[in-house]
Amino acid sequence: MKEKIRILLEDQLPLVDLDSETLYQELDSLGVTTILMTLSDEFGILLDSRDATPKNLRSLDSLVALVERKLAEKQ
Amino acid sequence: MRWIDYVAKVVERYPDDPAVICHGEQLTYAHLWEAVGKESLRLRDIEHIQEGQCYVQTCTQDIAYVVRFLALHLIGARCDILYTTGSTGKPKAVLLSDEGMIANGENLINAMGFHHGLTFVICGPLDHFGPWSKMLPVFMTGGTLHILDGLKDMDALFDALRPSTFANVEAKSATFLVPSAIRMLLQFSRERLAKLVDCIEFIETGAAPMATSDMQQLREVLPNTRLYNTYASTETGIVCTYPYHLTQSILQGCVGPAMKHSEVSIGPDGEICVSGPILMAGYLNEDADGHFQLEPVGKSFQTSDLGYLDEEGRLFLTGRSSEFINIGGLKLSPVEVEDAAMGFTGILDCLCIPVSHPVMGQVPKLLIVLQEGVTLNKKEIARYLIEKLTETWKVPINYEVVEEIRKMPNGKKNRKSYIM
Repeated sequence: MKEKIRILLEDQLPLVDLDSETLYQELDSLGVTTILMTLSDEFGILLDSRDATPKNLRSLDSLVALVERKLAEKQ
Repeated sequence: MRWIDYVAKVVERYPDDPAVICHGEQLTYAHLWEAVGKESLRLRDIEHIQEGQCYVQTCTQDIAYVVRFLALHLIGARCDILYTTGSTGKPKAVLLSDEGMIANGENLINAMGFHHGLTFVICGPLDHFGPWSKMLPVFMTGGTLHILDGLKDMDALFDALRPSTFANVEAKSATFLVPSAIRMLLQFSRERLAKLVDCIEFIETGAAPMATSDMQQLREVLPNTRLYNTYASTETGIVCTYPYHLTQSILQGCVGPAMKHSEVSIGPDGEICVSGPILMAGYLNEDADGHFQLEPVGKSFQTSDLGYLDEEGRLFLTGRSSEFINIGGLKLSPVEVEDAAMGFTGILDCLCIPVSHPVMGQVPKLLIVLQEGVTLNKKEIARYLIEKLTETWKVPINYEVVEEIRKMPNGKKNRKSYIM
């Protein structure tokens, strides 16, 4: 899943270093929205602005954890 | 009476009311005025700023900017200089007049009902006319300006929009949001927004076309909020606004009738022309010695926007005759991107065009002709471009390698053939 998210986001956010542990700091509002849109479309999960926290968007690993949590809630 | 004199009267009338909030800091009108007085002395004595002098102020999204802005007005410096996207790729400096500031402030007060006690939330960059212009009615009426750092932190936006209490009165809020921000809120924060149904007095939008479906949805989520779609630009000032909460069916492309201090006419080619005291003083051209020369605007300004007036005098926008790309309300000259990209080793030719985006409306895409043997590395080009363009929203997200860029018989790039 991590590589899938990396490929998806690399295509949408070419300026962002997805290996950063301070990913949230690198994003602007368009970047945050792009991540929410991309992940909800790809994984069929419901994300809202409350999910766009510095903790959830800290790194690629924290994004994976967010998607896994939302997928588990769906079941 | 100067614009700053309106502010001085407000300070006298409401000294203990909150004037500006940013990053958790809050200043009352009395405290703000004290800081303005000190800053004006510093600017006069240390930076030698004089009355009538043109002064370009660096915009920072904070209270210090507001203090400096008011202090420069107190001195009488000509500091209302905003840079717009020039069609050649080079930004143009626009000087606003004091008369224009009063007229624009009054247009907003009359049309939308800015008043004492209203908290106006600024989420956009203060160096853009849309957010910047809201300082005028807020400080003319004794409202509160709440400055945010964009929309990345949605919690901050919702906190700011919640009513605050001062002088035992519950103060409602209002804000200006570009259409892409409204779409973002409808998509990812609909429930939170609906909880503010009785808190938000009005929302103004503008700077880019807004889909009728988004207007309809916003009306449904906030049935008690006044909603305005405004037509304005740095050069023209605040021209028209369409109160779309009032009409039964929403009129696509409508930006309403001309406001109190604005006049609108349509030129022979369908181009919108604006006149009235709201217009800029003119463009400022900088000479080789760094001195500014004013190129006055004249009585009427041709906007490059296309539209028509209906029988009730309401203006409808139908398109734009220029080539700007509108990225969520921010205007980008494709030439600026192309000029920057041509410096990248391996790029022989390129063309920047708009492509549609579900939230931002448009984003730039770069078509590239590469040297033989060179392969496309999107990340490298994007990183090169951010160095040159300095702002992330200007950097294309999409890149495509093409064999050649189509040209017109005169040798110019045939941009229109790619934008259908």
